[in-house]
Amino acid sequence: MKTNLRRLRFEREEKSQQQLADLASVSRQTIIAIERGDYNPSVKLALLLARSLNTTVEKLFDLEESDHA
Amino acid sequence: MRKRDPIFWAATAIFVLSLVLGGTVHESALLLMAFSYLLRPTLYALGLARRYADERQLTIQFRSGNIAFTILVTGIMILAADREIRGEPADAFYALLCIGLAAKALANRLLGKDWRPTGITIVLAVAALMTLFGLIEEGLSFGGFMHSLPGLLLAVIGVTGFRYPRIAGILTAAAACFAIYFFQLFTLRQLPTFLLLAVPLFIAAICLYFGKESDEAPRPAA
Repeated sequence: MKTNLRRLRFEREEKSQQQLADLASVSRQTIIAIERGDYNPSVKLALLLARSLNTTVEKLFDLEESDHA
Repeated sequence: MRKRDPIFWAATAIFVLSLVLGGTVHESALLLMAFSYLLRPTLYALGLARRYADERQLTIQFRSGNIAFTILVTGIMILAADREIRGEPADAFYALLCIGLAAKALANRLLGKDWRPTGITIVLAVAALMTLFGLIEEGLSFGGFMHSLPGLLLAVIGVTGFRYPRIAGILTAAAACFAIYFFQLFTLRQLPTFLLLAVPLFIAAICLYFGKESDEAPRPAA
């Protein structure tokens, strides 16, 4: 899964990883893991992250060719 | 770095207690240390302390638990085989193995929250194991049939659960009570049999009796 979290985090109000983590009630390590593509968040967390950055889940995350069944 | 939350302090208290008891009362109290380590993942798994971990940390805990379980089962199998090769009894290892596998199978079914089918599956699984062990002990003979009879009767109760789940639930609970009385499962020596026979049957009885008629989610309002 492709993630635009890092890019949008800087584009939208320049939030730090810790600030975003606090807004979504997760650890900073989880934000790091999502940005690196090591962890796919749940729908709930994806929505929370999108809301924290005033964007949509579709803009935050996208499927890659390899994700298609 | 580990968070200094209430779980951390509770685990630390258990650790210190194990050291104190291990030094003053008996060395076996040092086994309590295992609880201090397992407190956090156990609370997470039971859903009692999820506010102290986010979803990624929970995922890591569950995956590491599965890996640890597989390694533990493999280790027990190797130790049991070693005992058998040396001609020593390995019953305790087999009991541990069965309890671990049964607990995993039970948890797998129960976490699906499909209560009545789960109850039937548990009863039929216990019945199949009882029948199998009866036949293994005595072979395909009249004696073997008599030994496997309780398992066959339990299977009938399980099949009854498809049509009359509440009656099957009551009969299953009665069967569990009878097993406790007949095999005298209330002693510590019989703990493995109690855990493998009576506990699953009581859980199945609760699932069959209290499970809803239909486990399908209600149709959402338009």
